[in-house]
Amino acid sequence: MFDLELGLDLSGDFYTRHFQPTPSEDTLILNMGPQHPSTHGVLRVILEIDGEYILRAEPVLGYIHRMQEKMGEVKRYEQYLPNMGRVDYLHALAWNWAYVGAVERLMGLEVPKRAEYIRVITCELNRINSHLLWWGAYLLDLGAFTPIMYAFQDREIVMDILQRVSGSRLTYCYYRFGGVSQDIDDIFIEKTKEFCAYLKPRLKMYKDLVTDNIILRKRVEDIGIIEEETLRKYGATGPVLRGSGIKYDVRRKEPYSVYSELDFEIPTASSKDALGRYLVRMQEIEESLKIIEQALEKIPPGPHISPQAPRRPKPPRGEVYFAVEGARGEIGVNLVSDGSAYPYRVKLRSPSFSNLSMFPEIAKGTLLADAVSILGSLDLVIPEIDR
Amino acid sequence: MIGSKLKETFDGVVSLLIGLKITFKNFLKPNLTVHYPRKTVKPEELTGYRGHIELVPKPENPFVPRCIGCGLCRDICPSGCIEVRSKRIAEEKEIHTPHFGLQDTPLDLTRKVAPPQKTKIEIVSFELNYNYCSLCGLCVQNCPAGSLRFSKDIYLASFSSRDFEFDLLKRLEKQAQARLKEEEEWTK
Amino acid sequence: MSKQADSSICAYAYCSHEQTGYEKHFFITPASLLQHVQKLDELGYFLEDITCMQVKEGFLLTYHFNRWEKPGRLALRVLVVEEDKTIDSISSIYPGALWHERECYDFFGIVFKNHPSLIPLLLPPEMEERPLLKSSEKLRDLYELLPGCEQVLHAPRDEEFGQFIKECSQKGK
Ligand code: SF4
Ligand code: SF4
Repeated sequence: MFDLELGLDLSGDFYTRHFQPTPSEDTLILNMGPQHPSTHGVLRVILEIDGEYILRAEPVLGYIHRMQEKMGEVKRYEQYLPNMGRVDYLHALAWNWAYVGAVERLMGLEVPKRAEYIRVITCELNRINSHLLWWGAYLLDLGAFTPIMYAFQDREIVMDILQRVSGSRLTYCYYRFGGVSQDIDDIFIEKTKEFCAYLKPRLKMYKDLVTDNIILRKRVEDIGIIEEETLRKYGATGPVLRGSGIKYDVRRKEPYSVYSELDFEIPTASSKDALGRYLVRMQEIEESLKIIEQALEKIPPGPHISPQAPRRPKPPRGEVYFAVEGARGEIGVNLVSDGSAYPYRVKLRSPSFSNLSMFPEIAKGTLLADAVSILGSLDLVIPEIDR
Repeated sequence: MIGSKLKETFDGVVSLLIGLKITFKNFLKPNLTVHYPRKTVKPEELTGYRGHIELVPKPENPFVPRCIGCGLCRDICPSGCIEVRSKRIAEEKEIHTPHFGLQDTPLDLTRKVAPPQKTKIEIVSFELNYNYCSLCGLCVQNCPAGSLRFSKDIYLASFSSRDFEFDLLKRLEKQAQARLKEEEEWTK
Repeated sequence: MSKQADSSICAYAYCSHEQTGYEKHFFITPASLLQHVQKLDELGYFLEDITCMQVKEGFLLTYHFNRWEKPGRLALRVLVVEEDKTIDSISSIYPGALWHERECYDFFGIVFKNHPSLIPLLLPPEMEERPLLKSSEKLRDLYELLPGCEQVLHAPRDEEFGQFIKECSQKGK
């Protein structure tokens, strides 16, 4: 069909051929990935390089495409819940929330206050977890091995805490329509408080060990500068956007749940480079800790799931869009219902998709080693891009 | 020129020393990892963990599950990994004849009065294909009889996917036997 | 965008953000798409995503835009008919649309004119199926799916509304 419609030649390696024809003898076409360690998953980037400099870059996607949107159409609303933990395995709860929130908005379902607070706490814990993994893995890309061990030590604690309530360690399926599947207990609260107290000195240690380190500075300062115009044209969101000094965060600009009752800052950095994005994420961990501590103070008693919560929802006809702030940016679920038990159309807007689409533009003219640093600083999660 | 170079070297050495200090401190800290399989995590650390599902026995008979064979879990499972088969068997009971005072009444009325024939549901098989399970917990939450729960079997590994097709009834039987044995030993 | 209905805007609707997550909807003609996108670009909107949906009348393409300073999600909606599944690519204005358009091409087979490289993005190149196309018995009317818009349009039910939207999509050709 592709041949017929567009007259494409399908023989051989389609993408490389499409990327060519090699313009001159001086340049080289290089395939980075799909199994390259610095792409964190199966992402392939075709590069045209002149010596060490990149002339053109084109990511090739689809290596772990699972057609999540089709699965949404053939499963009932409640059966789609476990899929959400698998779209972005690092910040699974944000995707849980986006989908559950979309269905709740469609049905006009009220969520009890306690459930909202539980969602805030667990989602922020998950965000910390995601940022910590990014931190370790990014430094691994840059050649520092130890930090990822420290990051995993902290991640283990968060995973233990979340496992207690949600039952899983990575691909959570915890939120339900109208609440959460299980209430939190005293041990959870105590452990979370302990963790908050534990992480603060750790963050200081990370700053001494890594952030102030002269080698890291040389690898991230003035690398991968992204201008405001580029960010807007490509629809970048999340820490990538805030690293260029734009204060856009869904939690503040389009408040959902109880975020408007909590006091926290939106960190930004004005340097626009990889260091800016690095610092924004590190500060976000601190802000998340602040949010968790406040939420633990404020959490009211009550039911953890709304008594009207349907087990098998059949939302009325209509269309909704629900956006939440994930660790990588704005996550959006666009749901269309025709009044039956199956969604008519599910569209997942993943932040990494837009962020990565910027890569050809920013990688142009940089050194190959810096491209790795740029890719890492975008914080990509490939399953989320491929869906 | 020389000054900036010296400063850079000095900064580098300071960075290095700070790093070494932190590394050394952590070097003296105790081991955090668990040496599997020589050690395993403590059971209390598994609270809330979702292993594969298993059947909950009736309180009075540990060999029979609470399941009423409604099939809800099978319907709701997103991965389609539960297979329940049940059959209805009539319970043997003496046949009630309508009360003699009612014998003249029209037929449909007497039917209402006569107690319905009692049937019992027997679960013939309950199979779980754990290969496809996404551990979402929907089946456990939706079971009207409270007949499902998560097991704490976490050390599962095998060379064949067939080993993860569980017969949950058999598993229940094994558990019940183990429990009986334990009780016997206690009473001894 | 001016509040007055432009001649190329077939219909517009304000919706409650609480209920739908949208601030405004615009139904526009395919021919005027670039002109409207240009206007949004000047107003400083960023492109959130492009999505497509198959309905009885054809394919409804939705362009989601949002703003950093004063958020308010805006949906530009264009209907293309089954017989002619082509529309202008907005990638000359928003290069971020390149991938979104390739995705729509993958899933629905919509051809974007003037797209620099309309090749499969997520699906393998040799795949012949369009996975998100629906069989005819599963298709619904646009009117049925967007009940919020019907009120604002004051459009009569079902057929006439469908006809109206259909005309709207053909006006631009
Ligand atoms: S939902 Fe519970 S009672 Fe019904 S078949 Fe499943 S296990 Fe048995
Ligand atoms: S946990 Fe989910 S996937 Fe697993 S058997 Fe139960 S319903 Fe099916």
